[in-house]
Amino acid sequence: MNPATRALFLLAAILAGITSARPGAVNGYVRDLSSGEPLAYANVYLEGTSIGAASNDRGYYYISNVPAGEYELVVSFIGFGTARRRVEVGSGVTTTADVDLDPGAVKVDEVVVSAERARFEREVELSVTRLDTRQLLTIPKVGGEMDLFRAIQMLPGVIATSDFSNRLYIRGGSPDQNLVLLDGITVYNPSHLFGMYSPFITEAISDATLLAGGFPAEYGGRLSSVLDITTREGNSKNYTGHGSLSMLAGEALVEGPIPNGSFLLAGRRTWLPDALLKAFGAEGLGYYFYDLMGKANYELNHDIRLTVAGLGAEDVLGFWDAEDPDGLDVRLAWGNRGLSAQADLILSPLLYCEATAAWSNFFSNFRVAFSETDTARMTTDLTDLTLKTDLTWYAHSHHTLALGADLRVTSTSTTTRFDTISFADQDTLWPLSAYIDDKWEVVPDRFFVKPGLRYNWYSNGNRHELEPRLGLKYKPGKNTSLNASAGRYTQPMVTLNSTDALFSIYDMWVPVPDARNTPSALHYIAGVEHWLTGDAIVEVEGWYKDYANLLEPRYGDFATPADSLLTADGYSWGCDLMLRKTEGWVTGWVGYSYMWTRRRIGEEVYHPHYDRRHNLNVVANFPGLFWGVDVSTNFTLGTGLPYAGDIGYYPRYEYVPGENETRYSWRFIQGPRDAFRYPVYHRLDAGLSRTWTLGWSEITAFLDVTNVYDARNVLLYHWEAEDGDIPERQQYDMMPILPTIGLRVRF
Amino acid sequence: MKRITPPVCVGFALLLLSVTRCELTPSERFESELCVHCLLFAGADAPEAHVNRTYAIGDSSSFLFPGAEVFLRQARDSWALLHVGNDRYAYPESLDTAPFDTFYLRVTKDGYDTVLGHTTLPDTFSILFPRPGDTITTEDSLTWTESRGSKGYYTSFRRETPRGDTFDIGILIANDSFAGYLPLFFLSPEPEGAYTFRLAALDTNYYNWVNAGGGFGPGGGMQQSGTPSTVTGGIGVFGSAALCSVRVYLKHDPVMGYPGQSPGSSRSNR
Repeated sequence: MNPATRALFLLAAILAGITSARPGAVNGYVRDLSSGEPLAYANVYLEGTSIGAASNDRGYYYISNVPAGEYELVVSFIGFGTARRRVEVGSGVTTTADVDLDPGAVKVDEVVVSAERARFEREVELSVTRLDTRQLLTIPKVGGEMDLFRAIQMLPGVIATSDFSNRLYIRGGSPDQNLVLLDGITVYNPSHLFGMYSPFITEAISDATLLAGGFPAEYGGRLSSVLDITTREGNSKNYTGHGSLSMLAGEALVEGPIPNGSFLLAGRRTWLPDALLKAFGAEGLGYYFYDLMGKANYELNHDIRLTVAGLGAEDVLGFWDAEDPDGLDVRLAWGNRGLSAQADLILSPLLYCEATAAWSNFFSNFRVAFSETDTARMTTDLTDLTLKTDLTWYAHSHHTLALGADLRVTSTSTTTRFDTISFADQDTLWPLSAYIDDKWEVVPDRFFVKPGLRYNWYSNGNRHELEPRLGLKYKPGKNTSLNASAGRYTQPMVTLNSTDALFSIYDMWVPVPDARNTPSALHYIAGVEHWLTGDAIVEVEGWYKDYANLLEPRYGDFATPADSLLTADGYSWGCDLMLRKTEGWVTGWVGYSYMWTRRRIGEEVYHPHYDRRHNLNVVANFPGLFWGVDVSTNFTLGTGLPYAGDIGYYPRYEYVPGENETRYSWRFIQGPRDAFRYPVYHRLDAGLSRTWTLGWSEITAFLDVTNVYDARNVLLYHWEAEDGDIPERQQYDMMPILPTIGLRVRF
Repeated sequence: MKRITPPVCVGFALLLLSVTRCELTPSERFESELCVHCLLFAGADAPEAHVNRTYAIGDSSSFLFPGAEVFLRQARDSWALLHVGNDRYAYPESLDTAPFDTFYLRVTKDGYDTVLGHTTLPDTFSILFPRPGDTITTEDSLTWTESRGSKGYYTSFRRETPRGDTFDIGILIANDSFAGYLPLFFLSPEPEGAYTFRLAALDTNYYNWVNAGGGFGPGGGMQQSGTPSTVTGGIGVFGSAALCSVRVYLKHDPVMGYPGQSPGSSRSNR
């Protein structure tokens, strides 16, 4: 039987399964009773049977192949009381049962399944970590502000190269290889304050899912990972909110019901940098950033739900001549804006559809005014318009198909204007994609196969790229699963700026030049998951990534023109171990990674500056440890990162036309690229928080200490030479001990 | 819990051991080589070279570097540059360094590889605007004729204050960007006064040397890594340049001329 005949036969068998069998089905939504927000990955099953499902990320579930009869539908989710409901399932009929779970009805001796466990039972997933608001808020804050990316940096396989950077180096990939999505909006430069913070307000986030590799065909356009962030929908029952003040910024969030729906609006703005500059008399210098996040949803009827979400974030840096209002005035503003509209449609009980339209924009505006009339200006703009449809087809009790298409147009432009002279450069990319995934339960509850295929057409170079994906899951026992996945990934856009820079304002994205091959990667992953207890899981994964046609900036250059990017290949491999505990007197995780990353440009083979061999992260939270105080701690231990150390120096002479004579300076000779390593990195952060209930409100005071024991981690070495002396090495350290306090009021 | 404690402790100890052994340094041995700087100017020029060496990071440096043999050659003529102090080598008389002549440099010293380089002198050129003594504003532009054979221009805008302070902006301009035309708006923040504009048309070697250097601080203040070189056998440059300069008065007031100057000498190319 040739492959085409076999595929037809399979399709016919599926269709036959659909049409000939006459069992019924149960579908519906699972929501939080107190707020009306959907609960993703709640466990839904029919008592006394092995038939069940997990709700999807919109809270929708569908249980197929249910013999006609009366059942007890049981819905459980950790942190909520288990709900039971009698349902009657008719032959060939889908019974709808929406269930609201009560967070105040938790029974002490009740066995409740967490979202992680539900995913373990039902999904074919590797390298996936999901963090929700509750987990994010317990992690100690850096500089008083909780940051999603800093929490992600604590996961195994993720490397942070400095205390001052929240950039994510995931399993040997550079930050531009990560796809960051917020409610379907692609966020191209998710950073503030030169990389210190991300533009996402933690309290407004429902959950963030990191797919560190081997991600399914639904996702594409990046080589390494996907970070999929969902904004909370807001409380559809009551008007609530909170305000908080940390030493860096102030934040406010309001949420509440609207007719047939809910809304959420959150904002944050820094106040410390400006205040500090004024306090130290630094006139003529200013900096601030702000974030806005919002979401509103409207339920047209049970089967149609509309959602609008938005993001606005901007950094503004300025310096000016404080004594002369008409004098020098320099302003640099940059930021992300985005808007998405999504429709969740139950086209039929078997067919769930998410249709998304998204607009994403990154802008920068650099203006130098020498006087009232003399100005220089450089603006960059990256705009991304996306139309996306994702269908989930519960085709058969053993087959769940995900299929969709992604139509996108991405345009980049740079305009430079000096006085009356201007230059403009722009480019447009059309990446069009379609995908299909089939989650096939080959042996019920034991062996799952998830083949997938993604097709991309990239307008730059008229490229057609096929990306096959495969996931396997075998459960030899109730608490153990063996997993494997493999896939091909391509990326049509790259960044021009150096990934070696200690600080980064923003990335400059461009389409891959027509004459170059599309950067691609192959992922191979195998792992084991084992539940030790009902709330503790250990995961071990080995992974290998093979990169081809990477476009790397020239070493040492701040930025490299697109047509001068260097072609590189390489690989990374490693092993991640994670022990995670989600409930009890202590929660958190221990993550350990062992990694190797290599790159090759021509004859030069090197370890990039984020090639950390060992990385250990311990995140431990102790709710109500003493006097009602919640205690949280992070500890990181990692081997030194590579750098290019100086091995020699010489007097460099140069003719200076202004002086019409030759001068010298001492210049240093670098050793091989990234051949040295910094010392071991280690840091402990801790946080204490205490909540008081005062009538209509809750007040939480928190104290966070970054780098508790003031470890002197090396940021960089700098050599200084004096005539006739031996050069001296100066060490610049990362963040010193930094205590911060703050207050949060909920109402 | 008791069952897993010993293996966990052993595992953690092994991890700490492996972690602390991971600070690496490369095993390559540093080898010293000659470091040479020689720039010829078009027209009559008494050539001069600086010859020193590279130092290992743990060695102390010295500016006394005698004993090198430095030869210049052009066609069938050759000249030996003699050690005149510290690391300076010079020829005592002016040579005829005509545009488009190619000169060859050879530097030898026992224990080091021989350094070789060659340069072809760029053509002379002239500044079209401003003319010497002109009063200009930042609305004006500096214009000059092309120096054939050059790769770019190293420009300087220097002001000397009555107190003796100096101010200098140096800009490197590639031939394929602004060559021959430079708007002067960038002088807007600078005070009014007398300025000297000096342009050096650079051959490819010296242009690349300056371009790779990334700027210069007087007196050895600025330090950068990297070892760009336009000679073989060592580090350094053998290049050539043609010079042109003009002294002008910069005034911010758009009404041209300044007290004491006749209106006739005020010019503008706006």
